[in-house]
Amino acid sequence: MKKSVVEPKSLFQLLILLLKSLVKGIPKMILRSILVGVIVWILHAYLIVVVNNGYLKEASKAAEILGLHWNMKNATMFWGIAGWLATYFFFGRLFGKGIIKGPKYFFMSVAKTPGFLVQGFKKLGSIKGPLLFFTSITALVIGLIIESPMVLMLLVIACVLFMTSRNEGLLFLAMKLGYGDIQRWFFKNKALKHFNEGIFVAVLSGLLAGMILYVLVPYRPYSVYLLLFMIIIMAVLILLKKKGLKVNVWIIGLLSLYGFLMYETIGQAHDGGWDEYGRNFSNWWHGQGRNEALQTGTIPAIVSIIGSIIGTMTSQGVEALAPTGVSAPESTTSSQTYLPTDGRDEVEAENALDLPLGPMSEMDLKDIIDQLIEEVIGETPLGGILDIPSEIEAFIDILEEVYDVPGLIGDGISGAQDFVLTSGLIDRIFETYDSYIPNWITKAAEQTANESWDYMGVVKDLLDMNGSIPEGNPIAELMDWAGITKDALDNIGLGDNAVYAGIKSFLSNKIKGAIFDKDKQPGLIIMDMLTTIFVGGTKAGDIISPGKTIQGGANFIIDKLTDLYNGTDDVTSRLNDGKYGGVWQVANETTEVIADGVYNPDQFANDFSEVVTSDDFYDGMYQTNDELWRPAEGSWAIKRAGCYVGHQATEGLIKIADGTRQLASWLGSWV
Amino acid sequence: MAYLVLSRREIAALSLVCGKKLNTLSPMHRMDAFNSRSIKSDLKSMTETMNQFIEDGAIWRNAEGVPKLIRELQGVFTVIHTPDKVIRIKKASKEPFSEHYYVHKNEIGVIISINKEEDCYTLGYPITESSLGTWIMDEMIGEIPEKDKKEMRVSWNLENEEFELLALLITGQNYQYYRGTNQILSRNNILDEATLAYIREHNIFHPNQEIINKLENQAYMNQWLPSLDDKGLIRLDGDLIILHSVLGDGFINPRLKDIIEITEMSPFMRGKQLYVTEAGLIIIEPCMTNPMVWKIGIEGLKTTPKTLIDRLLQFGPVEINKTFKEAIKTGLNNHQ
Repeated sequence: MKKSVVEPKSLFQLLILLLKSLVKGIPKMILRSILVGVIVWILHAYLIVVVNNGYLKEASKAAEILGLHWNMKNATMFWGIAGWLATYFFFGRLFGKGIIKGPKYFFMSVAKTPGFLVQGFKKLGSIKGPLLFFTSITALVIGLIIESPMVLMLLVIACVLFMTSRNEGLLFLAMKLGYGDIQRWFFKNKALKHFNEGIFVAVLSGLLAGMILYVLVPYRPYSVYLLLFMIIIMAVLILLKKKGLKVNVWIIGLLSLYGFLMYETIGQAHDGGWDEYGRNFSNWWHGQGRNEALQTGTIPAIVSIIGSIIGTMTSQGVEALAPTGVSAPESTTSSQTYLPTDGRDEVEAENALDLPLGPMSEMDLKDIIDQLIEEVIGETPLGGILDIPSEIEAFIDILEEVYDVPGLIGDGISGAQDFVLTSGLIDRIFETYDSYIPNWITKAAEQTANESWDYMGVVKDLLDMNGSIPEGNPIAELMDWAGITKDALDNIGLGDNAVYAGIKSFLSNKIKGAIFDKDKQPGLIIMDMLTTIFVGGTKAGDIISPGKTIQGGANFIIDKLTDLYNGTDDVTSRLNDGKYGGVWQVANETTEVIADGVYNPDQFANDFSEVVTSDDFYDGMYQTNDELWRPAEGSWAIKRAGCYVGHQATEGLIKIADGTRQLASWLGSWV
Repeated sequence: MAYLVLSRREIAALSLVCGKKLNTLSPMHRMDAFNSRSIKSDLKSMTETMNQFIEDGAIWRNAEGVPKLIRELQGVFTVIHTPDKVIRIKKASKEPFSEHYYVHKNEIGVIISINKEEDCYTLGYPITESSLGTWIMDEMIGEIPEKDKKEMRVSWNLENEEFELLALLITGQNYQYYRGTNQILSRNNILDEATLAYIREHNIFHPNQEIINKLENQAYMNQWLPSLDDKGLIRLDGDLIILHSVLGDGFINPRLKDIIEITEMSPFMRGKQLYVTEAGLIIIEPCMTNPMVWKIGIEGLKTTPKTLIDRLLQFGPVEINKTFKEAIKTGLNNHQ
């Protein structure tokens, strides 16, 4: 993918871009400038010696642009502009590599220019007349200042070249940016208006017409004054909507004057110079006046070098901007809503509006679809296998980096004794360090918390909305998950992290559900029923309730295995606090007698231990795990990613549990 | 605010063309079919969709033939793809569009709404936090009868036990209302069989019976009832337990109009629920601290959009868990 360029938003930015491109192209610029300077010097020598026949007279039309001491102003302007124009044309338009360069593209652009002009005038609407008049008058005034028709002819060529560059050229971009700058400076409270291409067309056309008119009319400058006067009067009449006889009289008068002036005859040039040496190079070279003649070309050569430098800058600018920043499209909505893009994000702008690439074929899309997907989606968490230990390692590395972060975040993390993150600090961390959070933590935490909030069971029971909840309302489904949610929140309160809490909560509830499956464990159902009948509603009933205790037992197992895995001992304190349910506490404190008074805990303990140590149980666990983390049909990517992480992590726990169970069975006991 | 209504395929097409890599917070992850396999499985329809956008002027193709979004949409999708903050807003009531995401980046926000079938998406832009408040008031909360509008702003931090007890009291209070006795909740009648049965049947901590049993525990009640009284959530008058008027009335059906869940889409997924009631707006937020804290807030119905949104978007703190603490300590030790 071609690297995009930040499109300039103002004339100042454009200038900076051009200067940057100039710096970037200094070697190229030096070569081109020297080449142009040498060519100009040779050409000038030819013109002064051969065409003009010497440097002390005006013996040809060429004298107007020669560096004769009385004609230095015209020569300077002419050769300066010529140097710029030649460089811009040859190196910026006709030759060179680039999307909007090269002879093919140049001639294609020329062919498209008439259509562009017509479209431009159409788009401009009623202001094209006044704009044309104004720019024509401006061109005539410029002509009066410059005086030299040869220089003006160069400017005419420049205008034509600019026209052929249409809305892809630097001038178009400069006008567009200038238009935006003016609006921003002088009309701050108004919405930015779209730059009308017609303005570009009308301005160039007016300048072109005015300069051509100046060059063609004789008896300058008096004839030009007269023309200006008549044009201005006619423009005023039209602006005042005084159409009819008066305007017609002025138009007829104007045309008559122009026609009359064109009958003027052209004078003849003088003789001499090259002829004085018999039109022989050897004679001329050894004759007098050679050095003086050549010296007259010094100033033209120097100014042409300067012009060439400017030409290089503009042609480099075209190169730097093409094809991305030359003509960025404006909003197409009628409301002109403008949503600025992130300054840090580079926005690739549209190519020429009049060069639309039409609809794409399926093959076109097939060619680029991988690129589009890679750019936007990249590798999904499900696309590869996560290596959690290495992710943790990476996370530790990141923390080391965070330690170096100065300011609020670094101080907050390294300085806080209790490690409590405030809301503001969290915001700051996520504003800046989104990438520092490993994906698997993000995804799994999102998934866990999503489930937690999705199934928040608080509402239904709290509000007794049984009778009023419409069918299909998500609240109706919340109830089943209330226990899981509460457990998860409780587990967070106990110090577990969100991912682990979610896994444990889901797993333990699922274990309970699996164990209570009457087809698999009918004895436990009966036991629960008996407990309810005999001791329901009492503390003892709570202690030995299989529903309560099995879940607690599952939590115990998971915590114990996690302790074994991590080398920690969280289980003991929780056990002492009775966090796993009565039986476990009872067992730990060897106060079986209390429970034995209402039921036989040993029997229960045996039943339970048989369940959790049987092969079938673990076979079921693997299956349960598969089902547990299987995302629902149509679930979204984050959830699937979370499920993947959850599945992997849980399976890891089960494997450890299974392995421990096997080891324990070899040793004749179990954990 | 401008709106775009897009089908699933259309939003996928525009998103692909955007060219900005999705960050972890982007709600585009929410879209199930937005993955390599699904996209590649039906290139024909994707081509048709993109061509339709080309015809409409929403997409153009550069000289290399690569489709690009027009600038306005590029801005919108840049925000959607690389947000710095995402807030999910879900509404419990049955409406065509009940799930919304407010995505925010560099002061610019876009609100994305997804219908229940997840085949239609609307994008509203630009939207700021303050206009999000207005949007929530108008679109999510809607009209509440004028006569009930009050000015009120209170908040409490409750311990886990306090919140559990409060929930039981609210459930018990509801029962007194439903059975039509017009009795005020008291230490006695909350323990009568009918009330306990009702609480047991409708309690929020099912199947955790031990919490309900705590109602019979005098020590527990003597500790936490006065605590709630001190904080002003209830008033103890002898044996009577009088709930805060908004908490006592707001949850009685049909005074409860809707429930809105506001969730910060981040690794911590901090969230809260906004209960829209005729008595006021009640906000409940569990905070991930150790010990756990429940933030309860009430906002009168005369609240302003700005006040409400400031409150809704301000989430409680998160206490780093043990594993994370260890990781930090290890990281710091290694560094030193």
